[in-house]
Amino acid sequence: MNEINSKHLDDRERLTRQLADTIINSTKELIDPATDPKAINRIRTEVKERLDFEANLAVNEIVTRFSAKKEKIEVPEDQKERTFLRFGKNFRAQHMLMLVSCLILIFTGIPLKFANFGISKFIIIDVCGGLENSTLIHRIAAVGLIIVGVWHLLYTFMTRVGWRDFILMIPTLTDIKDFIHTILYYIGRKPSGPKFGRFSFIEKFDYWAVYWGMVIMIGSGLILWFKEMVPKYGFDIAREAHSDEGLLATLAIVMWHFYNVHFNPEVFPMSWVWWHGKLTEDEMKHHHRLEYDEILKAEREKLNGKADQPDNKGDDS
Amino acid sequence: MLSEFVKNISNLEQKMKIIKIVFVLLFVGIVLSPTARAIDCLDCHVADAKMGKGKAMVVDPAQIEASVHDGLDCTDCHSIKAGMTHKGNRDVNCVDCHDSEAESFGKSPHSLADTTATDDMPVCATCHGGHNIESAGSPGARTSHRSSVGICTQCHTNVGVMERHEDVPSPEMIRAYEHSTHGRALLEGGISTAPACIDCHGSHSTLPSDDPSSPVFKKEISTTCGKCHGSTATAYNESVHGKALGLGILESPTCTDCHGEHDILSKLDPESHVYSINISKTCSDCHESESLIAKFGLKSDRLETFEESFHGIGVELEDTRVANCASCHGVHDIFSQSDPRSTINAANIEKTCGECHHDLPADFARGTVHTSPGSEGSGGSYNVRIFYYLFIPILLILFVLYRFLEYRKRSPKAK
Repeated sequence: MNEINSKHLDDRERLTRQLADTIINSTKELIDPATDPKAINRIRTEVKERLDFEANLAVNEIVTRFSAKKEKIEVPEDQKERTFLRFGKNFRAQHMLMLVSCLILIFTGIPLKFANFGISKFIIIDVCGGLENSTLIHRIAAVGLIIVGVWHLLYTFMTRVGWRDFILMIPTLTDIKDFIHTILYYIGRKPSGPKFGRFSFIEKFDYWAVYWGMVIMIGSGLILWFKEMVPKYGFDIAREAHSDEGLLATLAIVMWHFYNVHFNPEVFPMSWVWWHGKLTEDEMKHHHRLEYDEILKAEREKLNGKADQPDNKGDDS
Repeated sequence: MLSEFVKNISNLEQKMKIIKIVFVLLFVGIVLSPTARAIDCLDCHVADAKMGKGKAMVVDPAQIEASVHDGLDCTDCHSIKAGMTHKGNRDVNCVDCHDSEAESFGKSPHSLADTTATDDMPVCATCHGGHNIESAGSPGARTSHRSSVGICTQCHTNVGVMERHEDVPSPEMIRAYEHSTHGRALLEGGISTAPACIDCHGSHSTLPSDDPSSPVFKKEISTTCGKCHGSTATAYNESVHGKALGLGILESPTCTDCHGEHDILSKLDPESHVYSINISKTCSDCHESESLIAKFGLKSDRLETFEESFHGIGVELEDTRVANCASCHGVHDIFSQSDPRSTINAANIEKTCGECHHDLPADFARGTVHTSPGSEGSGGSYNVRIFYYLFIPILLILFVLYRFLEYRKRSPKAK
């Protein structure tokens, strides 16, 4: 390290001298010959010093940045920021399958609603290679979505965490109050926003919108898939519902969900909770204050030996 | 001297001598007479210094010998009529022998000379050739089936000539034949039975399409096409379109209205009017025409409702498997829905759908086809649409409003 540094310094010394000379030589013509030669020497030294300073600064900057990236700064265990597991592995896996399925379904589905648009023709004809392929892809993704639906029902009714979260998801009067509170806060009638529990009304809306969408889309989609089993008027209704609900679901995903987890300035470009499932203490305090308080209370009681019921929320992996 | 000779003739021996000489002279005359006839005209009408400048007057005897007219006298065609001088005798007289052809030609617009540009009008020789005329039946002939196209296009694709005449189709329209399935089969594919111009338009009469006796008059077209496409024409004549045309409703489509005229292409050609993806456009030329809808009471939203259906979406996205107009309504054998032969008659509709959708339930066809969720008569799907068309905008407005309030609270300016 030292060897490299000294060689480095030599190089720099030489470069600095060369640069200073070049500058002085090229400005010689502009210097009045009557000027004191001492003054010229003084300028020469000043230029050298300034260049040296700038070079040092630049090198230091680079070295600091590189070493900061290369060396993993080991944070001591007690100084680490506390995280709270919000989504377990099972739930995250459901979300991933749903995410992939939904994007493919939207990509191959929405163009059919707007078939006369150039972009729709491009997607179906050029990207997918024709309606035959695009409908096949759509059905494969639909199977993925149906699997998510069944999986989630099993998760809800078969796992403890799933059932507990489902109960917490049920909309209550508090959600309406929270919503009104939020609006009042936004228009300046309340000093602060409402405190949320594990699921805010925003998240509940997101969840139940998907729930509703899944029922309609899978139901009508199956009718369209097995159209030979229903009369024509049933097919007509299913087609209209599938088409319109598909558009609604897409708009809801873009306008509501994508805003919450992507475009919201707090999380832009993306909230990574879907990937690692964790929330920081700050995020917990800010967005799920009531849940945070409950957890801390439970922990305190546990420490005091009063409570024997562990409440490790969300940890179901 | 003369009186002595006459006296001497009375001598029998002398008389016999003269008769012998006369017979010999007659014999020589008979033997030499054809040569003498040819020599008569061709003495002058050969390529030499004297005739060289007027090429039309130069005749190649070999051409005549090779032609179908070998053996005719020059004057059989170049007849010298009373009062006619040698110089004025340039009109060729075909009528004497070919009177029926001449009669047909006499009705043709080609012979009803256009006074503005008479020189453009064809005469017999324009098509058939002059001294080298051949039978149309001989394979290499100018007027043989295959070569005849070239004769017609010589003038009809000539922009200069066509500009001088009104009421003639444009050269582009004529040239479309060369790319049509008929033109390619005949000119490139070597299929000698493929139709040339004369098969549809006639050879000598070539009447315009607005003449009721023309083979390309609207009512006659199915007969003309039926010369080759017999069973198809029969099916068409039975159809609602064919019957209507038979009753004199000239708006009713005939073969060419769907298939095109000179530009007829195979139904498998994506450029064809009857290619599966183009059919809905072709039918809509009439079935979406407001004047025809009003005149004949046609149902008005056929194209719109088709385009809204999944079949229509498939057509829009260039899928050739989906049903088009013809898949359900038939092609040439289109009947009114009330006709028991119709593919969309209540008795047949399930079979028609079943052509593509196998294993249909008995009540599959319940419900209306050509229904639009946009119209109230469509039952349940209308209510679904109304629900969503209200629900989606309301929800979107609320979303945007909520986000706006949130944004306003967040932005430092509002604080």
